Amino acid sequence: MLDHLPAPLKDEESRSACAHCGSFVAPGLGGRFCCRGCETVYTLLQSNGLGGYYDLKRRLRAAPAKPIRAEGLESFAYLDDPTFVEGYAEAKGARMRFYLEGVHCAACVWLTERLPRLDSSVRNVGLNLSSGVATVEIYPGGSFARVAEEFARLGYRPHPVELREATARESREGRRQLLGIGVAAAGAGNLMLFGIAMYAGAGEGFASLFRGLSLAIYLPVLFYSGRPFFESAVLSIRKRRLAIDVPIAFGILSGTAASIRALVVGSGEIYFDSLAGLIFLLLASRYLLARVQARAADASHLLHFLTPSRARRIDDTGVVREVRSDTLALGDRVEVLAGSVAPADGVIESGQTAMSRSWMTGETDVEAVSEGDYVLAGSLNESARVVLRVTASGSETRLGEILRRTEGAVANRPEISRIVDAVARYFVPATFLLIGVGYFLGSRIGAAEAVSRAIAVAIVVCPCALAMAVPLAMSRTIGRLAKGGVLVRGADVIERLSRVRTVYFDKTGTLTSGELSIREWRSIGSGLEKILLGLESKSQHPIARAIRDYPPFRSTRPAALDDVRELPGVGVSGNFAGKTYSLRGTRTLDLDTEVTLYENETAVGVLLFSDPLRPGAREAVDGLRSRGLEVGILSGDNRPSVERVAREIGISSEMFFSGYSPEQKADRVRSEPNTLMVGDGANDAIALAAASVGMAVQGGMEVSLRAAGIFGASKDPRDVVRLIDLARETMVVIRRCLAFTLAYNGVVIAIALSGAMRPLIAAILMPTSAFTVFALAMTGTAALRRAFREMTP
Amino acid sequence: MTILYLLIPIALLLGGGFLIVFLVFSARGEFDDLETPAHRMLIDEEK
Repeated sequence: MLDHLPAPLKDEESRSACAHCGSFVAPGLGGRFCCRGCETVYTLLQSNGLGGYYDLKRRLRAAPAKPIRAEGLESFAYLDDPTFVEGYAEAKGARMRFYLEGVHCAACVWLTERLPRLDSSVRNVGLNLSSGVATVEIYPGGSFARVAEEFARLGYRPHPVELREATARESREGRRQLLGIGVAAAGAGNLMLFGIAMYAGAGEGFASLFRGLSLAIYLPVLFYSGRPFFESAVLSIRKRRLAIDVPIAFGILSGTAASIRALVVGSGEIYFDSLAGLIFLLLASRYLLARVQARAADASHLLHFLTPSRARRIDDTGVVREVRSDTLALGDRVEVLAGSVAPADGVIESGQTAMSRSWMTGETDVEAVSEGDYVLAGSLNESARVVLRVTASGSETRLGEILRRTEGAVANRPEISRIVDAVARYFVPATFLLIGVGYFLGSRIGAAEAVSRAIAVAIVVCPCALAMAVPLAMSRTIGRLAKGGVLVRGADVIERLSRVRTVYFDKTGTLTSGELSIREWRSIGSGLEKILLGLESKSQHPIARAIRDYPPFRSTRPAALDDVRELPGVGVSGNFAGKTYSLRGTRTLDLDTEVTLYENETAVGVLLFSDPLRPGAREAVDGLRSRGLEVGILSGDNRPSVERVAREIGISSEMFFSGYSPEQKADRVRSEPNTLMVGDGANDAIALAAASVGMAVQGGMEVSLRAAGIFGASKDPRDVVRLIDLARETMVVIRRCLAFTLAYNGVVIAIALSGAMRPLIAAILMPTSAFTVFALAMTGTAALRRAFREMTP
Repeated sequence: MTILYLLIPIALLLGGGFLIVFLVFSARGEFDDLETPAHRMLIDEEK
């Protein structure tokens, strides 16, 4: 049956790789797959003519697919429920959006968009790569539940997206901005055409026609595209904070007023073209920044899909029904299957299993639980089905509590940049002062001259270049980082990052790999390795993975054991050659875990585990120190293990703290100004939100991603140093632009005060300054360019 | 030069027309996702 398949893939160690996902092949599946799930998907795709998926992945050199977990597939039946469809489907129940886990390349786009080939009731699938959201249209009679199952079977776990989500609001906002830019661009372009005609010397009749037309074209630009500036200026005046939009709005208005007056009077200059061009450039630069920041926002919004929104509730008659997790009430009984996440806090009523709490602590923390034990929402059930009695649900759970705390801290985000704020604060009074000077200087010649000079000053004095430069420079840096897998929430994060003085690292998962790996294997006698592998060959437990990945075991073939049984939280046992073997360990796993192999109840071998330091940790600490920063560790772990790590990377005893609770971490971080907190796990979420800048490391938990200003895909601590360098260089670029803006303003003010300002000069100077600032912002400094080149990809 | 009295309105109409097209397409969401189409280009179309 499997003969028509291509030859199995080989990886560098010349051990066969699964044809679907590339992990190591397990025995018994024809030597081609790692598990049943992958085999199913592979045959499904091939038999439907979708085998091109694998070629495409190879051609794109994309990351391999994730291994498919065949057991514990959730039920999506609730998707067809009419009340559900009402809240989630558009176009009269024909269209629904799903967030798909694991889409990241063109091959995924190709595959998901060809779903109609697998299911003829599907009309269309459109995938948005940057947000991971697929829009699915079905024909009448189709079923979203079936579509969801198909996505899940392909390996892209789907989560339905609610209609009234913030994402809809944001895309509308983005569209509105785009419309404003479109109108401004069209207007500015046409105005410039008329402007050139007039500078070139249009005849009498045409001159007044063009002037009138210019006003007509300009008005929509002013009222529609220019509205955001006026709204924001009014808002900040009301709040008594002079934001950058105040001088900008003032400049636009005075230019407009002066030009209209000139039009009405019949003589004098009109500046409609320059003003429209200015509005366009300002809007465009802000839009660029907003787009680049939206990527990070997307990632954090969709995070709440990763905690289970559905729960399997057992009602009084014993029937299991899928309900929304936040509708669970105290005392409800829910069933948590192996491989799923607990939807609420609760007490185990029946069953026993091992639960992973790494979402909370960030540590590789697997705990054996049985009847009577407490389980927290968000914990992953590693082994077996249990029934939970709910003690807290929704936002009352520990997880919900943490989320609430972080939301509060994140809510108040300041302006784009302190520099821009400072400039704005001085600009407005300075402008008025200079207008006064212009008036005074002009009044020595005559009243008309006084007014015209005052107006000239009002028009040309503009922090516009700066208002453009900051978004441009920031968007370039943030965009480049995003391509490399580092998402930055906003421009303010970059600025605060450049001013950081102290860096605190979390230990597990940040400085260390967070994964158990075997440090040593001691055994009496030889040949026991194959027993180990045989015992753990089918398990997904972290210990099993560590055993399979241990290099000295790589060449050993697992022994075929009989009656292999996994005892959740205790260990694993099986029989071989008439003897009973079991692998048993301590109740919880931490740095000094020991697991013992027993042969007929006699200990014959011991596995010692450790959590190795990430490569580059020491260099990162040295790098930060050499840049004048202080480095410390904040960890919830016990003192000896923290001390061990601190010693290895060179952190002194005043700077590492062990046994800290999330609140204590947050307090420590708040106690100093300008701190950067690097961490993962919900344990760190509060601290990440409390620091000046929080950086969440991937492999860490979803909750902290929401609290942090930066989330990175890298596992290398040295990237922290690179990020700080990038932030500092970006600020250098901005300061350069600021210097240029001041110089430019100096020149134009001098011209305006001297009475030599003409619309032609203004028309030349304004775009020149805009262009120069644009060039300065986009080219950056040599150091910045070099840093960008060195970044991957 | 009186031809301008014809050309200018035509130019404005054309420009306005394109602007309207842009506005309509934006409102429909055509420009919401500028990233995925770039990836789609890499995919070969089958016969």
